Amino acid sequence: MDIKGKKIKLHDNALRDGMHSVSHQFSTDDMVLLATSLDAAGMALIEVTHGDGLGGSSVNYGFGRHTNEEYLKAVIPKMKNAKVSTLLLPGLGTVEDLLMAADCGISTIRVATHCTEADVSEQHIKKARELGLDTVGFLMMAHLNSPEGLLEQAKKMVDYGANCIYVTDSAGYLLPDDVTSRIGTLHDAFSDEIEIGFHGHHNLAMGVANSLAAVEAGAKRIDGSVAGFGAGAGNTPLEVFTAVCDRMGVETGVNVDKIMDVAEDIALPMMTTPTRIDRDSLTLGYAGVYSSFLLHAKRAEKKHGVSSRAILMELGRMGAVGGQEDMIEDVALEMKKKSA
Amino acid sequence: MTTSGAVEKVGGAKKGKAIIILNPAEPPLMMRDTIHCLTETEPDQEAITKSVHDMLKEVQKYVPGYTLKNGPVFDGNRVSIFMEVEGLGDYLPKYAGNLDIMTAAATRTAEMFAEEIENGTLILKKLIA
Repeated sequence: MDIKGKKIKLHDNALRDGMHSVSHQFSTDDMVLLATSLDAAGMALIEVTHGDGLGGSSVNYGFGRHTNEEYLKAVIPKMKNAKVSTLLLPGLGTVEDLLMAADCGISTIRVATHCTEADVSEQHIKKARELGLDTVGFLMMAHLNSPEGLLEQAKKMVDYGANCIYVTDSAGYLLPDDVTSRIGTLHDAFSDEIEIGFHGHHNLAMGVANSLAAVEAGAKRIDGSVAGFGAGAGNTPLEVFTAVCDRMGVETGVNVDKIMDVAEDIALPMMTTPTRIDRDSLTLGYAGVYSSFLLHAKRAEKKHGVSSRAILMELGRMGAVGGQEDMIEDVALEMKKKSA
Repeated sequence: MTTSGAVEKVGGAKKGKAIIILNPAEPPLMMRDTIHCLTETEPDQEAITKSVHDMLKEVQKYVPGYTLKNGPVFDGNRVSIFMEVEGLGDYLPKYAGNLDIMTAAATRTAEMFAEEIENGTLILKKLIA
């Protein structure tokens, strides 16, 4: 693979996707410490919010320790070079939430929909563009749509005003060839003004390989998180990806030693449970299940005595999409009834 | 009036939140609704269970496909019920119970007004043209 000389932007998700792995309980001090350290390491973009984005704090997904406004107001003024982004899933987050985040000073909004439902992003993308934000269309569970199908959805988001489109592998299910075809199809269809991005999960240990495939196919933005701090088996570990990019001559702007230290000395001690490929997170990638279902399935196992792996396999078979966390307990109860 | 507002104003919650999730699965999934409630004090399991089943019977009078799939689940001060709404399938597919229940509820509301007018508890004022 020859990707020497390419220049990409890294986007750290530890303070948003990582919220899933701490059940949305970061303190504002944790957030400020991790964000300032990432900033000092040269990270271009840092995402900050509840794991499920603006409006995510709820019985269904878990309540955040603080409000999104509190997190954003704590982190944004402390940034020297890094920009702060936030996530919004239409159906959870509203335009009012978006206005609040814009007031706090975010630079980037990522409007996330299931990979076949770009229609629901119109109102939020138009408003974000009107506010002059760097506006990203974030197509989740991208393994559930073909490259051509994704392109059709991406075109809608671009029409609404998005200047960047992400292929989001929420389940960590994609293999490198799947990434190449999806990113390649988007990259070939749009002019250079539309940036293409890739968001990986490490459930099948493909985070780094998939991100390289994405860069080769034309992606300019790569998501990940320091120490892999994210849902499921975590995101693409950015200290590893930075080191690999450095070896391959890809410019990330991130300092390899510094990001390694942030992973080891700051991010790791904040993890309440280790972010690793265990049988449940492996099942997410194997069965194509939304990564943030992991801890909810483990809780359902504890409460209802049904194996979390079996619950996740069933959710994969059903085609559950992001946001359907309520179905985890429902599936557990159905399985309990059947085994009774 | 938003759905969140209705959870508060009609449902009586101090704070309501509504979440919409679209699932494009084929074949289409039946309409599902999950209702979570956080109680301030220890939930009275017997009273809540009875109330849920009473309401179920009431709604089934005009939406026969309104069923309780699971619950109520009691988890500390969280109470959850898992509903399914199957439509009649007259004009829309059966899975679109969300659309059927809105139409049926509108009809039922009109009927409730009619019942009140008939038994004299609601008196309509004459409009002067």
